[in-house]
Amino acid sequence: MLNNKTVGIIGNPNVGKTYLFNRMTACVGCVGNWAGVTATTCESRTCGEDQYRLLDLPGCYHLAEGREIQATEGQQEVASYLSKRDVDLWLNVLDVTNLQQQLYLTIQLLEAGKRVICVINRIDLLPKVQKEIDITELGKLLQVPIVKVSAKLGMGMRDLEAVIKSELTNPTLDGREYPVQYHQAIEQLLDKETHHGLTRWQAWQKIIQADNQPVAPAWHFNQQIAELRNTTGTLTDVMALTRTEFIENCCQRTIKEKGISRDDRDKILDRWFLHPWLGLPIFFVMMFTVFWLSMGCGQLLQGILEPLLKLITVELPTFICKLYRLPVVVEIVLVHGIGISLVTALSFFPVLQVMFFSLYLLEESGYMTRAAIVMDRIMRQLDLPGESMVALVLGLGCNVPGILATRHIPKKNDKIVTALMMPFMSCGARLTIFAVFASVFFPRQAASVLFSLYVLGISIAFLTGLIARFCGLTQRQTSDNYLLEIPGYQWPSWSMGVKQAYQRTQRFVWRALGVIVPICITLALCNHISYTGELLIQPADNSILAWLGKSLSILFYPIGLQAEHWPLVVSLLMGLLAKEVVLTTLNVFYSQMNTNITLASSANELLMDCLTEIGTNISQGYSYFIPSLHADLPAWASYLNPEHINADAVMSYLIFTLLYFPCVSTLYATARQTSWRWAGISVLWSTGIAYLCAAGYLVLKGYVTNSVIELLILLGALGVSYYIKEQIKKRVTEKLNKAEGVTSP
Amino acid sequence: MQSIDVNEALGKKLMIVSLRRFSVAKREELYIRGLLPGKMLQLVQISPMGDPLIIRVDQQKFAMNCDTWAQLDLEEIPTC
Repeated sequence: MLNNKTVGIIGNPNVGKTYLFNRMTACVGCVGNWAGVTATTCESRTCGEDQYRLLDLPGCYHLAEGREIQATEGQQEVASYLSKRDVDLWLNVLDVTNLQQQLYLTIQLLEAGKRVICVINRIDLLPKVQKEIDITELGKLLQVPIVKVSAKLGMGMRDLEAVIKSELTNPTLDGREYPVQYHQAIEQLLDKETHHGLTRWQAWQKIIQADNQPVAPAWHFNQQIAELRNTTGTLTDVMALTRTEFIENCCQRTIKEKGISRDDRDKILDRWFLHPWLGLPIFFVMMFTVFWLSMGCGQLLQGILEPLLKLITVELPTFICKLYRLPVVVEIVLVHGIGISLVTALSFFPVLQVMFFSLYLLEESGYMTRAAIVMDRIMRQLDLPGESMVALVLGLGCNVPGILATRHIPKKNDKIVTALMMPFMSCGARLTIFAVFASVFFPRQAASVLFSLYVLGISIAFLTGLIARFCGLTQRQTSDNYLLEIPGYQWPSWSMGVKQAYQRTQRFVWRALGVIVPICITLALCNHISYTGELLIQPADNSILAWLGKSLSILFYPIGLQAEHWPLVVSLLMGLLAKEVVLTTLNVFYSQMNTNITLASSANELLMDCLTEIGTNISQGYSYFIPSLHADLPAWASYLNPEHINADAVMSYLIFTLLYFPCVSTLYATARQTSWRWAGISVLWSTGIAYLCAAGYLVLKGYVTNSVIELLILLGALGVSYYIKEQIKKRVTEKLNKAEGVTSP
Repeated sequence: MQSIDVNEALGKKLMIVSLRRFSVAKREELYIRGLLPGKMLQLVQISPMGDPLIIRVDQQKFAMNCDTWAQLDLEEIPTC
């Protein structure tokens, strides 16, 4: 019966629209989404007997009336759905904690003549925020049915279903009066327009448009309207003010705040967190704690998880393959492809889990907003919001959670720029590479080498930000863009935090696997097939990968690597997978040792090995919490001595490792937060700048000064980047001019 | 109407006289967030780098730019 009906979900950003959508369509299949970032409309059918179409629209605070050109993407999409007539009923989702602001959209919907059900979400929070809402009174004032739900916990869903059904089958709307009454003169004006067949909404649009025209409409000379315009400005002001006053009145009559205000406690906490001198140090201490906790706890958990994973996905399959004499290709795909990729992706699990949990705590307690405020001024030098600093600092632990933390950044372009800056924040995996190389080649200045590499990375990140600003990617954060609500402090719910962190991590890891597995299989095959097409049991120097490394070493000549250093080149290639793999690759090639295919005689032995490894990892767990510069030198490090390779070349290799394409997981995270196009740009940009810096270092060091070719390459690269920059700038200015051209008349 | 100097305003109760100096779109946004002409506004704190400012309207706290502050028309309310 309801089959041809459509119901739309609408509301402010981050009020739980997608939660409700998923809850209502659960039987059909959940449309997974990151909280608060429904970029486009999702559509699905509901479950149960009477199915109807359900739309999940992106969030918007209010609709831009009579100013379509200035509307944001979300507003435009919502407006286009509103003007189409095929949505039968709107569910206006309201968050219980901040009703006053959200009711504006409700009023707009009602004036647009839409059939609306107000869904007050998150009622489970009511006792926490110490509020009471009289929904019958509110329903009377607004003249709409109101339902209280908690989409997260599934409370009130049956009531909602019942109300939706009754509204869809026998609408109660027709002949309803509009809740907000404007000034008499304006009502007359609106009446006149509605007599011509327009709805109240369309009438308003027409009036506002006419009001903003340079040629004054006739009613400007009406005495009452002229007076109104004199006192408040434009008719848009009159409209907005009347509505907000109505809403305030509504809220005063229906919402009762009980209990003590927490002003005093908030005041004391804010005095410290936003302290003129201590605010910044406290921010860095907080960030460092998150960083340290997630790396420490994460690695400790990783120490337990990884041997188990290796046992299940690498060693056991190897054992079985050997036992049943399965073809080598099967083993390569199963073990070196799928197995290794599972270990790579899943080993992120604990670190991400702890990081997300700590972020959840910061966010829920209310500190995150303060952090953004503290960093706002500094980041504004780059025209970025304070939130991007939080993300960048987290990126120092691991780029993946750093990029995932950019979801707190409200504007899309700022998010993109932060994601572009992220690869240059040196992560923990890169630190191990630097530590090993620095202690072999620069034993006395290891610390200063490490420090300068970090500084180089951070400065390149800021350079990226500056270039982005120069290209016009980030717009100056004018006053128009900054009015941030500061929530009160509250105790976060621990169980919710664990649940949320788990869900976010799980979603990320599963999706990342889709990218990592194919890449891993390809690399594994390249590593085990010789260029003549034979299968190799062990990676050797005639594999496709080695051959590739040797041929590519020509490309790396400007950064000091020669044909005999092909393992370093291959390690760079393998580093695309994850920076952790760089050292493993070098291990395989330099020691010519058989690393992970030490064949155990029985499954028992495998298990024992695994358990011993876990035991050692746990007993050494404390070391993860103590940052140290001295890495345990692996056995093969002796092959990498100053006789084999020039120290300058090593330094430039390290610079390249620091700056080039971080890893597939980061690539995937970037694509997820921005788009594949920007992820591609990020890869090109980071690799290009890495090449330039590494080569530039050598040129400066006088290692290959007389090589004209390299200088030419450098100049060429500079020219190309300059050209690209100019092109981007041109396009951006064109776009801006176009936008201005449209707005000015 | 002039805006009031940040340092002078700190801790004082002020009244929003008008938002005339903002664009229409921004004005609408400010109204929706509760910054209406005639409302009381208090400058609670200045954040570490001198910007943004922490203000309070009714029970809600906001962080606001100095630029936005400069565009507000405010009036000091004499304390009795």
